Amino acid sequence: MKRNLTYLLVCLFLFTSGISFAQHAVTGVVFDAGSNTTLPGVNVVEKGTTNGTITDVDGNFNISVSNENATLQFSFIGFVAQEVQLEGKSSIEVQLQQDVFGIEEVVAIGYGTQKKSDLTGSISVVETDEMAKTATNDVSKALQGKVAGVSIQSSGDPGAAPKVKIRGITSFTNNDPLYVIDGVFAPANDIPTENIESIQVLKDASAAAIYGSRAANGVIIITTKRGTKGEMNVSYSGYYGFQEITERMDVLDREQYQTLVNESTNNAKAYPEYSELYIFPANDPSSPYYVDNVNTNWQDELFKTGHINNQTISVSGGNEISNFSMSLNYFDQTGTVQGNGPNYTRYGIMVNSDHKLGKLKVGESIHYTYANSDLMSFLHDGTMLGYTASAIPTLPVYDETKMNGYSSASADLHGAYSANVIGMNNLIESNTKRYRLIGNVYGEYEIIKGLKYKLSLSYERTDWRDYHFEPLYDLGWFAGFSNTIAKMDDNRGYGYTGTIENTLSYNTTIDKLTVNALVGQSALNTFMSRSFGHAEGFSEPYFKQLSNGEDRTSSGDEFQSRLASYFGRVILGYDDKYLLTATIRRDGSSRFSPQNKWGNFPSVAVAWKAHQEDFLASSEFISQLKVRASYGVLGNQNIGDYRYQGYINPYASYVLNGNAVAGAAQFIPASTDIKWEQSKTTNIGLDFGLLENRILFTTEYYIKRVDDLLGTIPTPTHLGWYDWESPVRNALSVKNQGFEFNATYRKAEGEFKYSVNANFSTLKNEVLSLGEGINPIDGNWSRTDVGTEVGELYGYVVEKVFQSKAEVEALDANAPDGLYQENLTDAGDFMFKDLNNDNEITEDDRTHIGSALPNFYYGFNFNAEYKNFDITVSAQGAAGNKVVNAIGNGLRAGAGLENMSTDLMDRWRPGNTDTGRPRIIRDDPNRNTRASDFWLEDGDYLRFSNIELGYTLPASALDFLNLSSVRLYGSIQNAITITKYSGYDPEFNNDGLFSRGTDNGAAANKAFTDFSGGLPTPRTILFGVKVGF
Amino acid sequence: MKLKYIFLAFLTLFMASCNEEWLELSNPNLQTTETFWQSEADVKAGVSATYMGLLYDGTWLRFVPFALSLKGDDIQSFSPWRVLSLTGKFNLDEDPIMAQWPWTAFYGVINRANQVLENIDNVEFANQATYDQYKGEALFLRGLSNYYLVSFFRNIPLVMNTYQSEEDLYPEQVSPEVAWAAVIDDFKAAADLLPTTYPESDLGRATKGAALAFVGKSYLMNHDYENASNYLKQVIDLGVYNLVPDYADNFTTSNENNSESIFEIQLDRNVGGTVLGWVSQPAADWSKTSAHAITFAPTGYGFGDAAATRWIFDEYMAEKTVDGEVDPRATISMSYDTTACTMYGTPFREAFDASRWDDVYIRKYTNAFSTEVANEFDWRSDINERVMRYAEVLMMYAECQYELGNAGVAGQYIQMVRDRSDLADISADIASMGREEFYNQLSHDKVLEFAFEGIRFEDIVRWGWLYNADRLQELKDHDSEFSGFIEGREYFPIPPAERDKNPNYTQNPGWGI
Repeated sequence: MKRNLTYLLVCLFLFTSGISFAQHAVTGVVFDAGSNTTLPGVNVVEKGTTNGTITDVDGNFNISVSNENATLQFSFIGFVAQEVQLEGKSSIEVQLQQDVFGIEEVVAIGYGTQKKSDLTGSISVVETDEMAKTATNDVSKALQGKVAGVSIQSSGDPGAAPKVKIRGITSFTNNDPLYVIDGVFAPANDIPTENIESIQVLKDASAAAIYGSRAANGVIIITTKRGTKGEMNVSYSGYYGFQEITERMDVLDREQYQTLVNESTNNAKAYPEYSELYIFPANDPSSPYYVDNVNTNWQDELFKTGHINNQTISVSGGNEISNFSMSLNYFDQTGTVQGNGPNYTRYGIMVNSDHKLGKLKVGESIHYTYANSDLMSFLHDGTMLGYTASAIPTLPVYDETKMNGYSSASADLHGAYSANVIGMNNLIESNTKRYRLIGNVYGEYEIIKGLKYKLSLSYERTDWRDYHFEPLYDLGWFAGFSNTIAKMDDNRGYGYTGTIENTLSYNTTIDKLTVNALVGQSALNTFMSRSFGHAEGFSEPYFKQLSNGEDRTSSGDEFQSRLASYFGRVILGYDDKYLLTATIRRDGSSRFSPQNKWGNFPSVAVAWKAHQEDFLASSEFISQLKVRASYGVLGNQNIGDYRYQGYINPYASYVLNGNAVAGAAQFIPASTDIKWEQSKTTNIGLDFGLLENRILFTTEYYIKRVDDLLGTIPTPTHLGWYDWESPVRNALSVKNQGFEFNATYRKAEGEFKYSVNANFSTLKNEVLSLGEGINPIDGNWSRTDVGTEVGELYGYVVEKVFQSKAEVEALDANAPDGLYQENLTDAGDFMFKDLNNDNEITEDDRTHIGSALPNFYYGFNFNAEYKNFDITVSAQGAAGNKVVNAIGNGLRAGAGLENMSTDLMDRWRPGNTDTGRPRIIRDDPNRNTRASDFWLEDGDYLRFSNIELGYTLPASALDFLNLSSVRLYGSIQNAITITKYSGYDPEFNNDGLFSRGTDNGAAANKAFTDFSGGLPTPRTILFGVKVGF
Repeated sequence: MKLKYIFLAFLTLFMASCNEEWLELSNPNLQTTETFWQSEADVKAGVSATYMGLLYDGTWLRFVPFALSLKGDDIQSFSPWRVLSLTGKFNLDEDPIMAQWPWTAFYGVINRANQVLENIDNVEFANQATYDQYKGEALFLRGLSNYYLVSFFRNIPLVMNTYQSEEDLYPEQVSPEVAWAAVIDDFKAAADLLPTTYPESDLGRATKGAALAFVGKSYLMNHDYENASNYLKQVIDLGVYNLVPDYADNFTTSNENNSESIFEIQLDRNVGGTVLGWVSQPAADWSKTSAHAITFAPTGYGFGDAAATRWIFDEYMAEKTVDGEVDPRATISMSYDTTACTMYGTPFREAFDASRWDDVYIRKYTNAFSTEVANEFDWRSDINERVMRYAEVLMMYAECQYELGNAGVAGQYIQMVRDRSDLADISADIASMGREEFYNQLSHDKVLEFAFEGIRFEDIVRWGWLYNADRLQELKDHDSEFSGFIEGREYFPIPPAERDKNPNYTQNPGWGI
């Protein structure tokens, strides 16, 4: 099998191999110096030639070299490379030291690579082995808890793209880092984790400066696997898992619900304004329609076990001239809720190869994926989870007498909105298909020694189709819960980004000075074209094509933007002790007006490798000490296309006498004077290695200040536009500062090896100024102001619960217009604090009530190996933030006819007055549920994101199976979450900005934006195998 | 070495391609403002866009009829959507969109009108009449928007130009007197420019009569009866308006733009797309319809967000026609248990189960009369909204005449409206009525004529009934929702979000949000 495949692929790629004439045969064996076990797969190359081989399963190699005194180079990932001079020997034994610090690791730094030990800026390298253990479609999810200073929020929706933020929020338009995949600017979520060779996170301005105008949010460089010289590798990896949402909101059962909802109504009925309220028949024991035989737990009905399935086959290999790497990936994830979605299926293919022809090197990376997602469907404002939790227990899920067999709440009997969410997700179809090509082709030519010219062409193209069908249904009486016209949407489009990059690099060493210089130029063109088709009036049986709708409408548009750039970088090293990196990039963007098109983004960084100095070189204790400092300026231009001009909307037609009369006017303002946003980062770092680098830690402190922040600052609406259409302005100044700490300890004692890694980061965010004439910006329960954080929570302060009407009246007597709070404020209602001492509660009594931003994030990773067993435990968490649990608060409001939280069993009522909770009353006339400190929850959590146990088959078994390696493993992901937070998931998705403290269950990744809700991260139990053939 | 030169050639080529022009991209989707406002057609389109602002969520697509009517004593709402049910209780809760959406949408209309007014003089017109008409329409629509803004909010910023500089973002409010003066000026200027009638293809555009009627109504709202009377009389004297014989013709899709209709918002299911298009920038597929019908139609046919009060039902039943019949307006205004009230083709008793036979629903501006429409659930009703009817001009004129000491004339004009409904001639009685008696009669006749049309609450405020303990008690007896009335809340609050964005605004009295 192994042989056949090899021959096949060799033929396929038509490799030719240049074999040199060898005279001296050498055999040997390579050991891991730590464990004293043999190492298979080590690269062995005769120095100064392209002649080489790799060690076999038992660590043996044989090679013919040109002369008896040749030097052999041994290299293997994770080990310090070694050179051995033969000195006539024909049999050698080599001990390779584990490179615990990865000090010799080569790191991608953008348009080049650098030894990790020579870095001057802040670049985190993610251990891909660890990362690959996370079961996800998106590699960014796997970064969670692995990199200090990187926060990741994700929903549990299959196919979801997590929100990644590097060093906090510094932009109001877009906080996504720039992803560079094999040199291509493309989203990361379609690249299977198995294909990834390395991930570098460029955090400070110096590191990211080479990407200039788009790097203000940091850069994530993803390099996929390439073939290495030697025998062909064929490997398979796969896992299958079960996923389940374990969290539940504790809601009332049928009897409790009826009691409380009636109490809430009766409390209101006591006032004349509400005298017409009545107990709905379904809840009225004296009514013939009283419901006593149904007790639906909607959450249990909705949630189900989902599946996750990932299969990858990879083939790689190479010789002196060419190398290749190919993989096929299948990823399938079904959702954890009943109905048509969410489901996500992806097929991916990768082909990478490099070829050398004298001084010319050419190669390519091709990734092609097809992803098919069924989306969760819910057709109303608010979220599916919220509506599920609050659905009334007096209604069954299924009802054969109703349309489509699903029950429907009645306005007359139940009164509650209560959408039949399960019916909706079963009847409505929402599907999105994406076809994405990420490709790069390059040619590199060495003009003279050390001087290389490279031309790189990159192309990312995505084609999509979004499909949505709504049949006729009756799933509730309220607006949007029933549908009387069957309709569909069929939206298609494509977009591409093409980049041409020319770079010229020069490396040389002059005495003790090493020089690494780069100049380059790039041109980027982005284009998108969309068309939207809508049809309605389908009749049964449904043939779900636009043509079959009675009324059809279509629309479409196109967008384009361009970026022209020139950049240069010089990296100087002196005596391997002093390092300097200076970078400049000049970018021109089509998104700005002619006078503001160009921006310059310079940076400089220095480092001192103190351990190379004489006074430390001999230290047994300190093996590494490096001090780094950097400063740089980066930009942001994420504002959408064509914004600097004003436009006429031609769709404002009116109708006269049955005919459309063309209407046109300017509806949104131009953002005329906008220019580049500038972020300036100062970074200081210290890298420490102790005891032969067994203990390593890196600490960094940064201050990142962003000025002229581009943002749509909501303006008052009297000028004719809605506030979200406000002009983009260079307005705010924001500062983020933080401390990052990463420590690793590794130890190997005989067959027991382990490593512990912990990382920790703090983040302090402060708005320095709002800009000329701009007022505090309100989000959901938040207000952003000078001196506050972005999205700092804002509201009233609850003083106490009134125990009698007399207490209310006493306050009213002192109030300027005779009313302290609200008209119907009464015993059992909240008394809000009169913060401005004017004896009445107005909106001026609101204040900042909490931070939506954790004080710190942390991660913890433990790996151990003993004999053939290995274990991994990963955990991460955050602390110090407050959360608005929108779904939970809705259940605790007690003001409507929906179901409620069991917490309300402890509501204020005569006989239970000693409680912090207010009374329940229909319509909440005192507005007890308004934004106040009472409703905030602590967001602290610690989550064990992965606990994995693996077993590697011993050599004897492998020989028997004729395989080169087999590892079996099982893991529990998201096993335990320790938190006091009562929502579904403390890692809830949010807008990351003005409303980032609000958990309303909304998902980021949905094609029909308003139509679906997010799911919490499920618990996953999975089993997997990795096989090397 | 050849390869090297090829690469260098490439390099030069790409470097050269990245010049300034390469970075100049024009929007392929839309025309820029710089190239617009060049022709008569552009101005005409600008005027249409201004009218189209009347079809927003905050205007007549949905909220204006409710913002106007829900506070009346003829209507009550138990909608679970508190935006509606709290409006009549003088509470806006934490979701003040009942105030926010009309605010934003009317200022949108004003912005479009200002665009027309600022650009119209730069365009050459072939004839003066076209210029006058477009300018008059823009002035009328700006006046109309400010009329509703000052009526709803009382203390408003006056926006008479488009966005020029950041200063314009943070205006201060003007006094109600200044705002009303601006409203009256715009309507008067429009009246001078607008034609009295249009050819059939242009029916629905603002007319001289519409502008005059609103000048009159604006004066009346400010108790300037002399001026009000003068302008209302000019409407009457135009001689183009009559009461239509069939009262129902004012609330259905048949006989739209009839002789009673002074200003009417044009809706049509067959024009435009099917997307409701509530807010923001219009799209090609926006529907030209309203959600008035689905909101007020009873559950089963619509959302049943509001219903008639028992009092208004009793008021209809109280006075019979000269033939002893029920007032013919009752079964056009309300759906209740009578054979005259078929529900979308189904007899009332078949449409509802017995538990609902005592209910009284709103029928006006729903399609319940229709046998072709099964229900309102597609949201899209195209019954034109009659913003000003001749009947109202007559009633307003009567009120002015009474206040000016001509009770006899007042009686004649009230009787004109009563006559259509075959009610007894009481003009002579009115001529001798004292003040309280007169206003009771006027109230009775106006509420029956205009129930659920959004006029009742304006009357209540103007007549001072909210500030008179006995009258307020009467209102509470008619509609328990009045128990929530707090002085000051007859006006909406300045939308809290607007205040948050502009600290120059002062909140209206009575509101703590």
